[in-house]
Amino acid sequence: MTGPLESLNARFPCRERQIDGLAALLGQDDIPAPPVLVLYGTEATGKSTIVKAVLEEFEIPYAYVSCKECITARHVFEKAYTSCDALISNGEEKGRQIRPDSVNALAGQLQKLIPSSGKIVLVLDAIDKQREVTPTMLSGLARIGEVIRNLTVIMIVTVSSTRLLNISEPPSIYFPAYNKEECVKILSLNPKSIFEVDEEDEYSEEMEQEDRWLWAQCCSAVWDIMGKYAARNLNALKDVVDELWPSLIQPIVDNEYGTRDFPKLFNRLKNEKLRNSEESYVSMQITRAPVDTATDATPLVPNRAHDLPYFSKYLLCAAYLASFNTARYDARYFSKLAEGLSKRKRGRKKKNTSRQLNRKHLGPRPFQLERMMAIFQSILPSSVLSSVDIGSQIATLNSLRLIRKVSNVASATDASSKWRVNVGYEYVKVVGRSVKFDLETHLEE
Amino acid sequence: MDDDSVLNDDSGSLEHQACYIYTPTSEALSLSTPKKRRAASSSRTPRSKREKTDSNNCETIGALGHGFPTLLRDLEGEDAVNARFETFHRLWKDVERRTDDVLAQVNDETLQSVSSFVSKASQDIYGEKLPTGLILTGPNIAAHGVLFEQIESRIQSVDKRGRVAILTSKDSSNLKNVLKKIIRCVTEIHDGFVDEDDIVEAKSGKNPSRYNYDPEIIHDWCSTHPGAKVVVAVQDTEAFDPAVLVELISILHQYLPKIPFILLLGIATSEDIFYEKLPHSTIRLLRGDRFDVQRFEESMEQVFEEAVLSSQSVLKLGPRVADVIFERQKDHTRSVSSFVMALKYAYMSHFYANALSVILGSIDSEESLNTILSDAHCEAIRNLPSFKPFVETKILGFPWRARELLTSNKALKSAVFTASKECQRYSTNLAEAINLFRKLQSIVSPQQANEIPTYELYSRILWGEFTTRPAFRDAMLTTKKISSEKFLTLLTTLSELPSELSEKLSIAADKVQELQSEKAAKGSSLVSEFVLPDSHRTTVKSGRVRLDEQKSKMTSQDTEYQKLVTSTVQDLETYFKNKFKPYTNIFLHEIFFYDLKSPHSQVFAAKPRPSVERALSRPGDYLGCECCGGGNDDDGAGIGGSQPYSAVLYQLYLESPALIGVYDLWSAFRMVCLGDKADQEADDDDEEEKELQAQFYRALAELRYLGFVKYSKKKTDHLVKLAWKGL
Repeated sequence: MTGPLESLNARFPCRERQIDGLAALLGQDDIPAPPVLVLYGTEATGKSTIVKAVLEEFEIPYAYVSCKECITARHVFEKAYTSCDALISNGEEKGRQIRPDSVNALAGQLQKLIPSSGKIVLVLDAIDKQREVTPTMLSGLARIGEVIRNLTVIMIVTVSSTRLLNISEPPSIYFPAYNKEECVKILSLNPKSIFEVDEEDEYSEEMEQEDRWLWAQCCSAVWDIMGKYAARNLNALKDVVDELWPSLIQPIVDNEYGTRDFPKLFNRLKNEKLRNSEESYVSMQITRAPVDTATDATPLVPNRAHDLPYFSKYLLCAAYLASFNTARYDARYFSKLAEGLSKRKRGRKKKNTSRQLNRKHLGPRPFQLERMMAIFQSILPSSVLSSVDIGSQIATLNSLRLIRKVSNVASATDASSKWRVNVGYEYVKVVGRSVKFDLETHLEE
Repeated sequence: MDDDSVLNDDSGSLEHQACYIYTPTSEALSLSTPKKRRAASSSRTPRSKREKTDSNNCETIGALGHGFPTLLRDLEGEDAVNARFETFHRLWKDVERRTDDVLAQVNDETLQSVSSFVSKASQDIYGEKLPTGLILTGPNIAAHGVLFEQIESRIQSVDKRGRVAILTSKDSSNLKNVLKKIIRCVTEIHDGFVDEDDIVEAKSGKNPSRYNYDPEIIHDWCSTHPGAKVVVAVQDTEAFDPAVLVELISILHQYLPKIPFILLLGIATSEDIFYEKLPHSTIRLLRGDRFDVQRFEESMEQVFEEAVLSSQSVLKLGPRVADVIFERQKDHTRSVSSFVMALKYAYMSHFYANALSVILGSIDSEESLNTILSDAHCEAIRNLPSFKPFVETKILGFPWRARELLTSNKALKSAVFTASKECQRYSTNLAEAINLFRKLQSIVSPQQANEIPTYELYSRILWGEFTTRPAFRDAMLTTKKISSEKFLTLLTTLSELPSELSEKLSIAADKVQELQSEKAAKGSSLVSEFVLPDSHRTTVKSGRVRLDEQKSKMTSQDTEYQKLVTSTVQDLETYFKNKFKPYTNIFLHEIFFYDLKSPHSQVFAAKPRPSVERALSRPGDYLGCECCGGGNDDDGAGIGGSQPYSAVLYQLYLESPALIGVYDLWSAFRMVCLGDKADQEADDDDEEEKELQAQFYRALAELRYLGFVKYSKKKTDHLVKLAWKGL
């Protein structure tokens, strides 16, 4: 018994309890396996990997269905059936294809298919992430194991609760998230090497030790500075470390620093690379900000961004103002005549204590197109006759989803249709500034 | 306007005609059947002659199959009309071909990088991440379709890297539909790609049948096409339903080990907005690169240089039209294709309405020019505004020449030929000088060159006032002040450009080089007096002291260099002043520069709403009858009972608040329409009253149809005001 467990524990450190549990529930030949087993835990805690490894180690035949791959519930049933079928019939030709389209049908078909002896496991990975969840589907699937005696259904979910399967107490195993020491330990299993190892060169013990040491240092340093936001779990941490590694070891390859000068190396990395691109790690950008050492010609092109037409910018500002100002104060903010009036009113205004929140934080409210057009005309430095071009710009802004229509009026430019601005303050402020329009002065506080 | 009317009778009519009423004649109707049209176009000989009805001169004859009218009060020969038509086609085809070439190259860089990204993307680089290309396409939506089609054809047919499925927001209703579309795009048999159709067929027979949204179908396809990649391109990411996009990305990521998916996302606004929309867990699945499409200003500049400035374009834009076109570009559209349309319209209207445009067709041979120009043409030429100053200059030197020009058509024709050569030379020189100036600007003050594109300088230059502008003076001043190294590069680059200055400049460059090496031997660099010392001292005196110090340090090389700088800048300035002369000085500029702005502003920026509002509030403007107070003398004709009923009602509507009581409206309406009689007690049986009421309802229905009012749900018998005037 010790053989498989030991090798498993060596491969997956820090998961002894879970592996033991799985082995106890599934790996005993003389004890029947439970009909259903729930494994739960957050992302990247080794649920799927470990369950597969355990099943393989104990040579239990299993069918694996990744429910994230499935589009509909029927798709899940079909996949579950075909994978069980493939497992049992070993690729033999079937005359007719069976497509169970409900839990009942699946249970019935599986009953016909599965022989009465020998354990079989059906792993439903991420079943709670399934896209088309019907209320009875999960509990139905959980009970298939009760109908078919030698079938065990393993469900892998993120959060377990008693409501999930409507079974009083299904056996379940919790996979907690790894902490820093565990993460570093796991990542240290496969360190990356500092030097390119040629085929002729021997990968010496010494080099391996250096690699291992530096890698572990790097992992724990990255966890320290980014663990809170960018590298919250094992996979994310691995991504970041993988990405930083080449630039970290560059000075060693260039013979500037020794392998043990980790603080110097990491400082250099921080100053050179992370300073520019830390933002991109935090906000998870797809591309990393370029680490341009030579700033060639960049200052010459200050505004590389694609620009909106001049009036579109004003339209967007008008839409923002229409969304965030209340209509009854429009005269105060936009009327060219009411300058004196607004001052008088402001003096008399009572302090409004009921509404504490800034309008900006309450989200945009819908407005009528006509109101936006009126604001547009009043904020323009010189008036413009409304023409086809203005209408087409509104349509363009809509298809760029900078503003969007909220009411279902048939005609898009109907004066009574309701609209809403769809971008935030920062964006509109920048747009307004590019046409020298001060958004703040027209915005209600 | 008077002398224009001879030339441009048609476009002239556009200017004062308030609206155009189309009355199809029986002939036009019969011609509009497709069968007849085909027959007409298939006939070879100079196109079937047919009568054309014109709005002002109804029995104009001549205008042939192409629909060009006979101008010059019907004195224009048929050949000339045909020649105008043919010239238009010939010249425009040429311009179109060249602009198309430019436009095809505009996206080339982006296509190149996308295609190399697609071919490189593999599991080795991106691991478990979904390779993703963000294509920053810019907000010009019309160009996106073209770009993605180009990407598709590049990847699919040119590179043969795999299949491309282009998704638009229309497909984003739900995940199933999106997957179905991808599967259809991938498995459909395209031309171009090497496809073993029969294998697919055979395989699909063996494989278990699948749901039509099952990505395994693509997996099956991939197994028969090793090495082929599946590119999923989302054309308008902003409009794509974010929930579906998240699902789609997770599905693509799930199948990544089996199917080599690559995702391309077209982003029109900004990356930040894109990132805001997707959850971090989704973005973490993606990794890739971003590609920028050439900015509007750059591609516009290229197209402008090719289509307008190039010496191959015979017809140029005049400053007024250029202003209208470029202002519209800047304010409204920002799209190159709309510029090309506007340019085509300029060509069209020039050849359509200007009889003398026929000259453009035969500028190369004097003979053909002589044959095509009739007496009527000559008369029209003598009526050109530019003819008078031309003759007046001749009077001073050669009075007999002036007389000949006025009396002899032959002399005039030869003068026209030389003048057309002169015009062409002017535009060639202009293009050359503009090119030179831009180069100079880009070296001397790149910031400014970047800010103001060439096409915005163009109209200023044509007016001849550019050399007095601060932009020009700044450029000249900074040229004096730049360092000697920069000055040398300036001289060498400028001397490489073809211009009459190039020889002088290259001599100067050699000299500067010589001086520089002499000076360098002493271990310092060349300085001129213009290069101000970078002193931070603020008082005039200390500055002067520094200057004196500087001066005393100057060597003989420096003084020589300074002389050289002064003379070169002087040369450049006179050169530019010489070339940037106003185009109106040249004889025949009316023919080589199209400069009527009203057709453009009317055709490209139609104003339906102001027109409707004006028609309803001042019906006299359109009807032109006396009863409606059609006089232009007073502004705001005011309400009158004689006006059309909907107009009366609209004006009452304008005066009313946001919520209008129908009865109030009716009583006001009755007051206006009946005038004095309204005071009498309303009588139900009164026929006039009844009719008026019917008219009221009709007018109200019309307003409702136009979208001005709708019935209120808050209050019975009330209307909600929907539209305010002047928005």
